[in-house]
Amino acid sequence: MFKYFKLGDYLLIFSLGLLAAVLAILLPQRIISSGNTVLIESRNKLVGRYSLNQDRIVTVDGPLGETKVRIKGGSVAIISSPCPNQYCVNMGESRSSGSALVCVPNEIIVRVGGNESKELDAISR
Amino acid sequence: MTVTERTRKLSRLGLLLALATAIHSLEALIPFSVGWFRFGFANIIGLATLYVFGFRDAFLLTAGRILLGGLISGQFGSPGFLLATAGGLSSIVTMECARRLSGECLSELGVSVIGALTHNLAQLLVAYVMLVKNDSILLLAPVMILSAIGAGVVNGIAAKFLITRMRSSKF
Repeated sequence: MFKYFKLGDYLLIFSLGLLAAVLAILLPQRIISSGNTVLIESRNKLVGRYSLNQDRIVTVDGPLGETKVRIKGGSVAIISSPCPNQYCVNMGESRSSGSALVCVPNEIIVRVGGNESKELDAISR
Repeated sequence: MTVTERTRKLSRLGLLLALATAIHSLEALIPFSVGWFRFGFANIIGLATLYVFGFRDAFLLTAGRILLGGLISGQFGSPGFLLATAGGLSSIVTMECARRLSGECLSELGVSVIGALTHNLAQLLVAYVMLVKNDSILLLAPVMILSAIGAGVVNGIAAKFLITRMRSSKF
């Protein structure tokens, strides 16, 4: 049966295999290393982008005053805020990508971004 | 073409369409595929039709089996149907181009692998652009290429048998 097939076929299959191997090595670095970041927005403008892995405390200005955002041990939290109801502080820590901490009165949004939804929530068929 | 020949061609195409629809529907039962993606084993019939009857019939047959298969498996209008349409139609068009352009370089096997590759990458592209919209789905690209090689080789060998039988038989 193998006599039916031509050299071009085998070359094609071989080069595709090679391509798959190269992509398998290169793609994860490109896509995953763009990973876990904290994006801070104030008055609908991006004011800072920080790594989730470096511990630090960031002070952000809003219409009401200063909000303190703490990045520690791979999670982010709003630790103090000039807003009256303190909902944002009570939201606690956030570490999963795609989630956000929001302070509406002080117009501050802290997003956890990066390799969002690496796993699908569910597959239905 | 005489009336007998036309009737023979019509009945053969009808049988092929039924076969392609059956494979297409059964394929949805394979448990280890990723989500809505499919391997494209129904391409065996598309490829054989392409070689025996030409592009026009092969294209119509592919469109027909996607429609019928979608209706049978209850996937009509679902994301899976969208992926199957994108994969099936782009694959049959690319296989025709490959068959014409490659000349003596590629046999049915190579054309089949190219078809399977287009089938998988078109599915991935549509899934990326319309359904998931997230870079991480591109991580599937190597997997899709490898599965295209596997499915393409299987399809190519099966189609080769089918083409030989169809050309030699009187029915």
